Amino acid sequence: MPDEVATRKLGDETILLNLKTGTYFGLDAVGSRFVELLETSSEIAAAHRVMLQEFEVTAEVLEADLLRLAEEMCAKRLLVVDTN
Amino acid sequence: MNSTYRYGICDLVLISNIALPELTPASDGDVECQFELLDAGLPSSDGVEWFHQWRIEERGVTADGARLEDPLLQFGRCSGDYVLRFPSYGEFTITRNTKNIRCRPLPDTAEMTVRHLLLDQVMPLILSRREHIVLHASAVLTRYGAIAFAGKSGKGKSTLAVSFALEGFPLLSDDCLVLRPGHEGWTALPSYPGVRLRPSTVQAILPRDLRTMDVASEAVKRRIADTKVLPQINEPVLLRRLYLLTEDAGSTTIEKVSSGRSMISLVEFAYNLDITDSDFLRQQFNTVNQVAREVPIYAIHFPRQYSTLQAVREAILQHLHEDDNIDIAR
Repeated sequence: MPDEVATRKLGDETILLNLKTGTYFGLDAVGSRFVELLETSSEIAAAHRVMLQEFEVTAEVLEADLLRLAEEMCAKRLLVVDTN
Repeated sequence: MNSTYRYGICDLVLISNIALPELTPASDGDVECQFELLDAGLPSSDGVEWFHQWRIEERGVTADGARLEDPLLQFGRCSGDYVLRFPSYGEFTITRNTKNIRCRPLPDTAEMTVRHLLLDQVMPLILSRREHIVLHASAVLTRYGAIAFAGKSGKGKSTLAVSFALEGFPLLSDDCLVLRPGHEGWTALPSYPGVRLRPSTVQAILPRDLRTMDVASEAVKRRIADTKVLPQINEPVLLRRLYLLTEDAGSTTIEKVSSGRSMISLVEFAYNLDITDSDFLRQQFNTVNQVAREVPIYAIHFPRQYSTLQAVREAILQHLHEDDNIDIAR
């Protein structure tokens, strides 16, 4: 996650703020866990592996959900994905 | 500047070179802000770096003849000062420390309009730099403490607050609510006396012989400042609840809002003079986080019919009463 993004955890939810753009973004429990894992491993695939064990969801559905969320966060400059 | 007038607004002492009859005269306290109305003229954009704007549709305002996509207010910087340009009325220049405000109105702009822009648009933005948080919200005092109503323009903040005031609950604010942290919780500061209502609302809920005034030369809304009909409180009081006014609904329901959604809503309804100031944004992020944790925030859905206002009031008071011991215990 970019340095200019501040996060706050509130219960199961997480709020992100891009300090350069002023954009706020709210994440539910699943999104919060995703961001939490990204902050430690920085890899979407690694987050996917951990969350597959934690949530009752198929690998395909979880992958699609995480990619969609990552895409949305990138569009709001709350996440930078290195495709390499 | 030949400042001859001295007023209080939201606990701030403001001096001015024109009379501001909407405000209460201040006899003591250090001057924190001074306003100067300059001669009319045309603004120049030389050296101004524009960084933000409010469009009319974003603020839910429909001015006569204005298109909804037109900018209502443009935010800029020039030589370290802030520039707030109302394209239809004139320009305000604010020093970076927010202590000095100057207005250069367009030639046809009435002084009443300048006063309205100063008090209802510019001052909330200035206060946003000086206070912990300033919300676009109305507020009234109940026996449980202050309750505030936040929502987009036109959602009924003022109408609901006036409905309470007509029943003897003093008004704290029409649409600029300053919150400060205290030992017991967040304190709501009174703004200045009076409310602004649409003529249809005035006709529907206020006494027929009540005196109303123009808000600005082209404004549709009417200003009401009769404190015998709409009592005001002049002291800060503890904020017990914040209600977010949602869309029109068939019946009245009140639901707790999650802390995350509360935080987003507080940001949505918070005034912010400089959205490019990262330090300020970080500070505001911390503040809304704290308010979201400490002030119970609810969404209220209710029918937008004048005939149901009494039932809505009763539902809110009942809600305050029922959850009093649970939610306001700190």
